[in-house]
Amino acid sequence: MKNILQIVLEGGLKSLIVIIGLLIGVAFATLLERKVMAAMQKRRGPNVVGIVGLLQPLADGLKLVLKETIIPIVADKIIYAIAPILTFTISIVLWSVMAVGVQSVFASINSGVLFILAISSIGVYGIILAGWASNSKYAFLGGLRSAAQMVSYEVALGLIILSIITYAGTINIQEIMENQNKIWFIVPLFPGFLLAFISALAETNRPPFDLPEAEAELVSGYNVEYSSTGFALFFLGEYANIILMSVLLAVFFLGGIVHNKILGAMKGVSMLCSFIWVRATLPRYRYDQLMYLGWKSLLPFALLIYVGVISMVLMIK
Amino acid sequence: MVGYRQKWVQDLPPAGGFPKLTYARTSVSPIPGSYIFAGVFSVMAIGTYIFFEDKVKRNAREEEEKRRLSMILPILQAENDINFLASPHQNVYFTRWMPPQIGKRAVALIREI
Amino acid sequence: MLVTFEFTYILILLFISLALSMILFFLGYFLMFKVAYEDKLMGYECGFDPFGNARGEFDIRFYLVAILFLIFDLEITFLFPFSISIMSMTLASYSIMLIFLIILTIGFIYEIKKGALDWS
Repeated sequence: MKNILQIVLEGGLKSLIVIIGLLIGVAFATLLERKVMAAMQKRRGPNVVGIVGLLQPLADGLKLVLKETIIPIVADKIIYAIAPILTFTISIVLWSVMAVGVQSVFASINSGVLFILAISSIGVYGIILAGWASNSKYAFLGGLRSAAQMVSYEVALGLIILSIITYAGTINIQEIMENQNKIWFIVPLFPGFLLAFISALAETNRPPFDLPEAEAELVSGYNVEYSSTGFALFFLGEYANIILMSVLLAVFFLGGIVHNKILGAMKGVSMLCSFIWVRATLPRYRYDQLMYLGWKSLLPFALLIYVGVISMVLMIK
Repeated sequence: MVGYRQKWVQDLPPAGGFPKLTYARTSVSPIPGSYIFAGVFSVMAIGTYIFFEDKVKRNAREEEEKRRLSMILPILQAENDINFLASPHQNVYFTRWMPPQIGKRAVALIREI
Repeated sequence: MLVTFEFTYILILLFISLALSMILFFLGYFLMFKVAYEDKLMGYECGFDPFGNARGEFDIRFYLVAILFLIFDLEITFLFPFSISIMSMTLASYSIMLIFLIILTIGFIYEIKKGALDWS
């Protein structure tokens, strides 16, 4: 029996490890994105700060923190402050159930997938609150668009996750990884993987579905009015979500991180690189096309895959 | 220009310029689409077969383990009860203690404590 | 005692990250110098003074999408227990679930035919 102080200390140390690791990961994810996109466009990318530009994210972060925080007069002050804090907090808490190995996980709860689905739904609130509180037309439209987009692609993603847990028979993330010892889920569920990848792109507001941030129409979407640390918090939260999505795809479809940690990490990074690849390659969607894709083609297809999966399992049984 | 030293090397195209871009539409893969579909579906079918072969085996093993655990669970439960009652600071009547469920995680937890 | 501390750990992580983000936000707000004047503090609208109400009317279809999402998210929540315990399901429960899915799909098709998702 542990006493309370022991639990708090242990939890605090573990959370510090999670948070520091996540922040460093986010910093280098931004650098990776810029470097990979530069390589795809025959440029060099950032290469002045640090050895080969390795300190660039630190410099960026420092610059953002040293800027002036502007709170518009017309904004709702309290909600304006809550929105970035909520986004950042949610994106960190999501990582608590991510397993980085069959044994090594921050909190091994039995309902990991359910936890991730539930908490990531709260993430929409951060965006809506930001769009509402800024009291600017661009922010409002961006927030609305972003919320509708995330909400409609969550349905398709949820159905694909359902078919995975039907195959695995559990919603514990570690057990899902154990289930793929023999064969990765990408092989029997290849169309599901494609759908989940597209939905993950839309869910994290990445190009080609970055409608809320469409620079040409909506300057920057829901975070126009945010300047220094507020913007930094949004940015960190967004990239933490992107890394989470790529790791989730790696866990669900590519066998996760079971024996070799380096190999497991490479799966996640390869998913991240394909996110960047898509960004460097494809032009942006129009909003009505985005909605058609989400509701009229991804959702029925995902439903079909789910029905096929449950029929298959019952047939085998 | 006295005292000028070139500090940066500018990126220049290779000697003779870059190779010419082919603007014409490059031909798509020589394999027809129906073959690719058939290939993907056959790989999926094989994968499903392998997965379910493994799954059936694993289910049988888990079932066996569950039965085995349910045999020894009363003993483990009794041990746990003794520990619980023997500890001095526990009030028996006001407690949130519940009997463990049968399952490998529950048994592992009893073992741990 | 059969107690696990996993959710306590998650709570601790929640508090620590909340504290960290609040510190970051308010550090930037209180510590950095501020030069405030009216033009800077006004809402951003491409160089103009903002005109009209930013929170005016918006498209009803966003609302419809939200309602559709509610229905389908509920459906997913219903399907979760079924999917996990599918190994102990019979053909009867499978067909009941199939009927449930078909009813939902009929409603969805009706909604599409009514033009709830036509963005143009």
